[in-house]
Amino acid sequence: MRRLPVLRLIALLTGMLAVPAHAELVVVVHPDNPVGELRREQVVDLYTGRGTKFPAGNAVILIDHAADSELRAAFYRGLVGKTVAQINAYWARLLFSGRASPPIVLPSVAAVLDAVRKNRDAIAYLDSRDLDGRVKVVFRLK
Amino acid sequence: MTAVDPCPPLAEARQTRGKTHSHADQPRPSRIGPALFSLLCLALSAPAGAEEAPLGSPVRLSGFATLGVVHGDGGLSLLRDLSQPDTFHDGWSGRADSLLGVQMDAALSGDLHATAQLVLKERADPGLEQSLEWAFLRYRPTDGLALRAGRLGLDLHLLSDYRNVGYAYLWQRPIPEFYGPLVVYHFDGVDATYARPLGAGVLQAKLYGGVTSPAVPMGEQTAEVEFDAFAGGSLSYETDLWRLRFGYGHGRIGPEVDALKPLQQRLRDPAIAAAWPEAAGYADDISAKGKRFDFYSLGLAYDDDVWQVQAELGYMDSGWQRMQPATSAYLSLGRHMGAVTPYVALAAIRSEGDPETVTPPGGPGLDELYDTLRAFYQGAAFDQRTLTLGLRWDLRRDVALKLQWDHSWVKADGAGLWGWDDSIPPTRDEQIDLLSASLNFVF
Repeated sequence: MRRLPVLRLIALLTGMLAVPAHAELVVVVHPDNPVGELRREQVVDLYTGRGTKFPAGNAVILIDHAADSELRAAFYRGLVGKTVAQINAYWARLLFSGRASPPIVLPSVAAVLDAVRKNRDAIAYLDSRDLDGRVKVVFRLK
Repeated sequence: MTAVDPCPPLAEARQTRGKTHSHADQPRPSRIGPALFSLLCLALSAPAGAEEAPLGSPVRLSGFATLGVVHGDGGLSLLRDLSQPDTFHDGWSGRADSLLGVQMDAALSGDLHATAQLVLKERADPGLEQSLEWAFLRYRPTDGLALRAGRLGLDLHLLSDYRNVGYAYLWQRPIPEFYGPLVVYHFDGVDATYARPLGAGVLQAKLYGGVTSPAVPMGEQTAEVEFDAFAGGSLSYETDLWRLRFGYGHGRIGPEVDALKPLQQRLRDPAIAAAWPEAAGYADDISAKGKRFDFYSLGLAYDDDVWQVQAELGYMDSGWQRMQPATSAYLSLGRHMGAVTPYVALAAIRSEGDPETVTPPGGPGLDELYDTLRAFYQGAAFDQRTLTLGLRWDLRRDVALKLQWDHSWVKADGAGLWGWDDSIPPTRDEQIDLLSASLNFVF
């Protein structure tokens, strides 16, 4: 019984420490997309151009945020530990050697949400605070 | 009555291409023309993505450019690679590193994709046939498998198929000791790539094959070297931070190189046989017909948010007397400090054995022919080392500034990577300093 307040205190403290600039980054798809949850490696493969399809075999439409968005910097740093400049150089290599096509860049969070709602094969990442229940979360970046 | 379809099926276009090639003695119409045309037709006739709400246009235009200037002292001129003529005047060149590339990508469906890329830069033959770097269709039937057909980038070493894209790598230019001798950028043919996850990364195997005809300056002329077979493969393992790669390529020259024929004729001239009995033998010896090349390379790259390390080791076996077999290697170390990445690199190349020592003619009036022949044998012999210090500064998300200093030690009989003014190669060891600056864009 005496341990409970301690646990609550720990939970409270860690909770406070864990509040970052972005509440949490989540990877989302269309609600009708049959994909359940994606593993971290699967998300990395998609966002590095190494994988191009969902597990069910449908080709992904990869969506990204504007090149100077903070969300984008946070996503790539959290996912693969690289800066936006490094990611840009990486995609320049893939694009101009004809290996893969970089994600479609959309100008705003609203445009990204809209694209995922309207395209069954789209995939994107968002700040969890921008979720509105009309897209499906398949991965949480921790 | 019926309108002629301007867009023949692609298979037909490819067949035409094959036929053209088998009659190598006929005038050479552009081999890539029909295939590219079909490709464009396909792109234009493709239905817009079958999505409920197409995300923008299925056709994407993009490009890259480098605006660079380089200063060098001494009697040798930097060549970015051996497909480039000497561009230096009074120690300066604004053309050695500068280039412009544009690319068109078209998503024809979720699995089918078309790409064409045109690169304008200083090259021995600046025509469209050489400047069209890629024009291919890519098909992904299942995840992990990619099949491509058309004009494709030669994926021999780590940088081979993006060495025009200055924004995508650290240095001022691909390390000349490693990439300088490689004049083949693209080939017309097919490739297949299979990738599967393994541990924390992806294991990838690639096979390719086709034909290619790079143009290279040879003395005062431009030689088109027709490879009637160029094939190979690679095995690589890639994680978020590491890239490990083994590559192999094999090329075989088909018909005799036209640019050699006048020299061979003069060497075979019965009138000189008395004064220079060895001459006719040299005419046979310099022949390129049917000669083979083999390329082996091992590459390792590491890139995290602090360090960028890259090293490659390569061996080129050559059956053509123009080039001796050569070993080359480099090691590069860069450190990311915010937007600035200073780097240091060491590179070396060395030809095995010595170039053929030409027996001088015994009679008068043959000096020029003798010099031409010596230049042929020594023009592609390599023995040099370079220390490089530089800095890449990412000014914006799409522009990188690079500043670089190189110091090269070049042996007298191994200056084949450089341009020189005299008709014969340098006769003593040289040391050269290069200072370079460039702006590298993607758009």
